[in-house]
Amino acid sequence: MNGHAHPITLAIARISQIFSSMGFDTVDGPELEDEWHNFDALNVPGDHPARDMQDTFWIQGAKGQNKHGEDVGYVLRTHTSNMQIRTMEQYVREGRALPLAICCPGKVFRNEATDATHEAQFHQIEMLYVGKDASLSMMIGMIEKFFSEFFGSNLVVRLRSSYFPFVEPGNEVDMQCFKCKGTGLIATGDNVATPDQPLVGLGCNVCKQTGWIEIGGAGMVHPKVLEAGGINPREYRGFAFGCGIDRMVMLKYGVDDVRLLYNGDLRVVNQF
Amino acid sequence: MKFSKSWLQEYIEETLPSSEVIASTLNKKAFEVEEVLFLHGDSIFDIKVLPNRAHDALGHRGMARELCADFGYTYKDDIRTEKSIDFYNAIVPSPLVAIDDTKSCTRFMSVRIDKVKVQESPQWLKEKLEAIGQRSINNIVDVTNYVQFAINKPMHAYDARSIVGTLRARFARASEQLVTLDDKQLTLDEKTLVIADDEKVLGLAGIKGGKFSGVKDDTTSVILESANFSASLIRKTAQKYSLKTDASKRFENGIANSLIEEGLYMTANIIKELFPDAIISLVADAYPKVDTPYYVGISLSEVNSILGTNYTEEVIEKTLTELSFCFEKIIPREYIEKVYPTLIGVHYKNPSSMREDAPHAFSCSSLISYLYKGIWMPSVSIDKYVFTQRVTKEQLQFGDLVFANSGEGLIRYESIEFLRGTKVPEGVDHVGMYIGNDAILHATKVEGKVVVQTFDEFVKSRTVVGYGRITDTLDEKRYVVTLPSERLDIRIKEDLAEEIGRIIGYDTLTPTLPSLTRTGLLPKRTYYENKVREILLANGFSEVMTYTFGDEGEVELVKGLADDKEKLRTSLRKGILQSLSLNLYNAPLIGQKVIKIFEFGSVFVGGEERRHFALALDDGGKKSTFTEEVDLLLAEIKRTLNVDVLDYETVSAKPYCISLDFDTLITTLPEPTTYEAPTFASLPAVTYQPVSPYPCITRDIAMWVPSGTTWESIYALCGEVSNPLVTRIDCFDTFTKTIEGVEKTSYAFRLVFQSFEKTLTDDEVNLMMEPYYELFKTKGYEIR
Repeated sequence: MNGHAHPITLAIARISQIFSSMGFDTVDGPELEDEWHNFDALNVPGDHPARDMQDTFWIQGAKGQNKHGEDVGYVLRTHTSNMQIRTMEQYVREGRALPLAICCPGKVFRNEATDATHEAQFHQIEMLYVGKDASLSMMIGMIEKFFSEFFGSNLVVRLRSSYFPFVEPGNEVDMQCFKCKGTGLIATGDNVATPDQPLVGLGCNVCKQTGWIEIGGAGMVHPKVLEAGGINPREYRGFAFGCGIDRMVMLKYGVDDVRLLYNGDLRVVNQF
Repeated sequence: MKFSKSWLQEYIEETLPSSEVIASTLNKKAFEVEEVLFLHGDSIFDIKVLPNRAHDALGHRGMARELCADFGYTYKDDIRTEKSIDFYNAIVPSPLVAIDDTKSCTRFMSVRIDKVKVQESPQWLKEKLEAIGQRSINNIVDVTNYVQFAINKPMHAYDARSIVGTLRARFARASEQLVTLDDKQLTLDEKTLVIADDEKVLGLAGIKGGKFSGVKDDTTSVILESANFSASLIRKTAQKYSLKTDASKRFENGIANSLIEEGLYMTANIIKELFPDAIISLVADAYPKVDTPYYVGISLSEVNSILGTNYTEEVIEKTLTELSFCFEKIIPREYIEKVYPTLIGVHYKNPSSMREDAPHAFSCSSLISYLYKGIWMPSVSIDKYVFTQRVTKEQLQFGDLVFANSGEGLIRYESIEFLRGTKVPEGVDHVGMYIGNDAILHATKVEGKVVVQTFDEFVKSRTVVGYGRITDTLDEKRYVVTLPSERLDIRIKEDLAEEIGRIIGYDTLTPTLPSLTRTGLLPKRTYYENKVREILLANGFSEVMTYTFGDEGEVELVKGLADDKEKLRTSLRKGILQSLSLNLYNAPLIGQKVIKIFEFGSVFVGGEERRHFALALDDGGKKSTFTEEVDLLLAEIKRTLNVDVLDYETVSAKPYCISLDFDTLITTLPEPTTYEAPTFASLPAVTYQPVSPYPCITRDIAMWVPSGTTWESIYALCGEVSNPLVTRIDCFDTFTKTIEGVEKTSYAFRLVFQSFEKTLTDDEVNLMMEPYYELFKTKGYEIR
């Protein structure tokens, strides 16, 4: 009898496959990260209120220096966005030609009380594209393609204006509900919608009857972030997107408690 | 912050739409509306204002301006923020104000108002504050609070009797004491900015007032403070004293200096409305560095390339107007041509700030920034060098920059702010602009002013280092916006693109895809991990993920979630063994006799983050050994990965657990050059079934059935009992035997009972077994 891969592994493998087919490399990077790569280089300086937007695990007594010779502390990375900087740095170091197109799945950490939908450790997927032709429309196209492939259904996404220091414009991303196809309703029996009669059915439990699912954050890479990575924002633009892998798995399969993914329980794993 | 719809309406000519429409529009275009409440005929919106808009939108006026942009409405100004005739009375002595450190306090205004009376607030004021969840205190304090929530300017009122001498923004002396309005005794340090008079500390600047100097019941004369402080200093101080207030929240994000006067006038004007006989003094205003307007420009093609749109000039202009942004249309070439002749002869000053000194004085670099109005560029010469596109002398066009090293003074060899640390070995300390016909315009120390010189004259006292181009589209029209002073969030063209995009609506964007022809690769580690995973899965091992945190480890967190989660694991061993025992306990529910698991994960050992791999297996029995199975498995991994050495110690006793450094294992392996999808890359089409937190109870049945009876038919028969608490039914033994000439088959199987609501008892399960026995009996099956 074959064993079962962890659902997060399955999701990551599928995510990499989707991105690979679109020409995006998968990269990995450190979970224990310096403050510069996790915050400063992402346009979140030390005294900025945006640092409060994420609850951070700081490492006791760990000190190092960034590439400018300044003292930095260490954290458990609060997002996979650290890999935006590390990958840009690598491209510049190795003299690789742009466009840069990567995805980065990985474990991240937040210092917040745990419950069914919050874990102190979870997984994120980051997408980054840097080229001369990057635009918000291209970002939407990539995100739609990604979710459509992952959830196996043609989905549209919508942007809401928001703020993350490392992107400008910055957006929250909502995905059309893959279960009710954006209607907010699940048909019961052989009930189908007609031009004269709207769909009658049960409220969709996945999107709480809104037809939309809040799924991630995205935007055009802030020029300061490109600079921190060593890329001249006068010549290049970028877009980035990030969302929780755990959340994607929980949505797709109806897993009701994120903690079940990390307690090593085969009753969960073996269902996949 | 909570916003009242009726309060917002006061700033808007048109009637606002329904609360639902307001909420959904704000959600899309600007802010997340977390809650809408209905209260006494008003709607209260709880709106999440993020740090980028805390400068303008943490007040009803700013939010109303946002709604005007969102809906294309007309904004109605509140004239109470303006200086009225009442402020020209010299009978009441004006307070004295002083700023010790102009970096930490950028503006300090004050005014004194006599003949006031502290009493209950009028109804309208109470209602306004209570609607947004604020408690009414007294009329004076309520007015200051009202102003804060109206225009985002925290205000403070002192009892004039308690002030001696000058109101001063200064740093505290070591161990100075302060009792706050809410009776907290603070011991201050020298990095704490306070407001003090000649004798004592009056309050923590921008955070909280002191008890002694606050407004009392018998106060008849108040002194208003309206000031602005360094955002990062307020943030640090509020954190240091654990004092987060409505005021500190506003200051720590930064507010515009223009709000200082608006707040002061508004507060005084409203107090005067309450007490028509009140007398207002002349206004005191310490404002060492007066702000000038900020310009940001963007062209139509820039908007369209950032957003990926085909907007027209008309659409952009209409949108900027809806945003109440004043803008001019500038063609950079024409602008430079028109302006530079007027600057020749202007005084040279270094350093010199474009915002403060231009056009009355220039450094070489600020001259360039000034002429390129509406095009962002870094301020220092060497940064301009790094920023620009390199061109040769032959390619020089009007507007290109000429960089030089004058051989003395401060010559930079690496960039300061832009692409910080970029090396320029030739060294740069000067920049001029090529204006055609062998002529360079530059502000120079040698001449002490802005001059036009020939190339030969230019190189007499300096060496040309290189030439740079700011833009290829010098002839493209730009919209140069004079930003409303509160909008500190808009500083670069990308900010403008966002404003335009969100107001037009992101739903107008047409999705596209990048045209990449390559296939993306996996990182080396994942590539080889997948190979090992495939082997393990084929051998019946399932994958687990456990926690990074624990009570043992070399790396410690400053503050963990709990005492036993303060350290980072050095090995996967502990986690995987815990998982093993959990799964052995649940083995009947899992339907496996031998539990086989593995994990890949990062551990923190020897000062490094390493990727480890672990596997563990057991059947819970006392005598079982798995030595050979483990050795064979690792041999297969070694063979598949094609590594020479696989360093592990053979395990010959329980627990059967192998843990090794995967990074070391794959060190010598080559980087993958092709993408190979692992066998498990497709997502299974299953629906997750919840697992119960309660323990299970098992019952085993063995019975004889006529030969030829399949297990499937018995399994189906069990289904007829339809007991939802039966979690699984597993056959664990079967054989056929001829008994008294009749061939019979024996099936031994296990029923697993589990509830989602409670721990089942033996008695309950015994009862549940009855229907099965009955059913088998009617079928003529013989329970053994």
